[in-house]
Amino acid sequence: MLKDVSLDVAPGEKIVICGPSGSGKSTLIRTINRLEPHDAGSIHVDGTELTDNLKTIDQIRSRVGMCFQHFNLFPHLTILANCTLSPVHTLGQSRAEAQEQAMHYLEKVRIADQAHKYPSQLSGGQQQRVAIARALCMKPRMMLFDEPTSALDPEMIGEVLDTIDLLAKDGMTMICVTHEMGFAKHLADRMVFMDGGEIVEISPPSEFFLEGRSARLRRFLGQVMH
Amino acid sequence: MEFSFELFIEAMLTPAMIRGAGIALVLTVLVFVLSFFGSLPMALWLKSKKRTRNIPAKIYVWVFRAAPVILILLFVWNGSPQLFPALLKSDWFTPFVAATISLVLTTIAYMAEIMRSALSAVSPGQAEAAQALGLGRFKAFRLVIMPQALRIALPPMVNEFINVLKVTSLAYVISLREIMAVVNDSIAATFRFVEWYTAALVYYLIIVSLFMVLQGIVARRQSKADRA
Repeated sequence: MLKDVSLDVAPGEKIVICGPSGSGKSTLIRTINRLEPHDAGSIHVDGTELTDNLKTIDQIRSRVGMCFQHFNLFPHLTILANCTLSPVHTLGQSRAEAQEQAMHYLEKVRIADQAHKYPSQLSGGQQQRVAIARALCMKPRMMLFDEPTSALDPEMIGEVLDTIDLLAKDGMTMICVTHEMGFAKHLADRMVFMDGGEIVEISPPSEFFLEGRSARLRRFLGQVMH
Repeated sequence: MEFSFELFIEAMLTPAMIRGAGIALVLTVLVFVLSFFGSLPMALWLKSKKRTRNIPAKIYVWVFRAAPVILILLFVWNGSPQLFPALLKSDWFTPFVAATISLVLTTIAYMAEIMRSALSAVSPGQAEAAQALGLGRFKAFRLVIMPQALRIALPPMVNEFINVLKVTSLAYVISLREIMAVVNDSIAATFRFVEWYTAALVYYLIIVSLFMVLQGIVARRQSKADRA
């Protein structure tokens, strides 16, 4: 349940959303590509209003990349085929064209040498990097990250955050839900704090992490910053 | 009297017997394929949260799992011409067609249950990832969900195939000339039970073995993806 949520994201902007579990962070970013429907208010993505219209929804989804907590790679397809599936079947790319592009992005996330393996043969960190490459193959205008490192062993978090950082440096617009506060401070143009389905605070990291903000945010930061 | 190997070979090579085996095989494959496509919407209805879909699907499965196949065969073959007299004059309503309809009705009920549980076993994250990549519902189902569900469903589906093959033998009650009908008639004429029963057994073994080989090939291709 979300209420009173209003957020404008400019092209190239990096937004980090944090908040206690059950605060609606995931729900909020999942409404942007309509994995969760919204029953009031309006959502505009890249100039298009998101409605029930299936065509509009698919159009918006192909412009918005998403990475999930549990990667959700397709286990029956190779890494390369994971990356070419949607470009071939929704963008109408030829197989050769899609493969060339997929190799380009797999190289970018430094995993091209694993292209012919299956997801189960890769570590969690590698799988999440493949998931990022798979999303990039759709040439998205923005990326959504839903706790991309929460399911990873600690030693693999760095490689995934570095990859996200790489995208950020390329100017990708992104909204990232994460509990990695150090990374958030470094990545975000603006921080969003959610609690109880509401946006409580939006501010640049320089202010966000200072004392004197709302009591709810202070309590949250006290719990997550050690 | 003892087992006559010559008579057994003769029984195996009787044209009626070979044709009977052919009918059993074609009927099984046809019923299996038609039922598969019929079971997909049924499985989705079984999974559906909408009561207008879920309840009819549940009733269908309940009725056709409970009804003996032989009763469905008789219902379709003897019952439908009573309701639709035009069928009596039509030349397409043969025992083969009636057997196909009857067995498809029954098999859909079993297969829908297999496909429902296979589809439920695919993690919901898979559909979400497919949708997030802009694959529409239909493509997501065909390219992402189905291949994974089929892999889970393969062993019970092979069981179901063997079941269908075996219940084709019941179609002798509507005078379909499949293996058991030929065997029964030949025994009535010769009283050589063992040779004809053995011939029938061997034909069923051959057909089942053919499909076990096929299953082996499919399973090997699938397991390439699972090697970790």
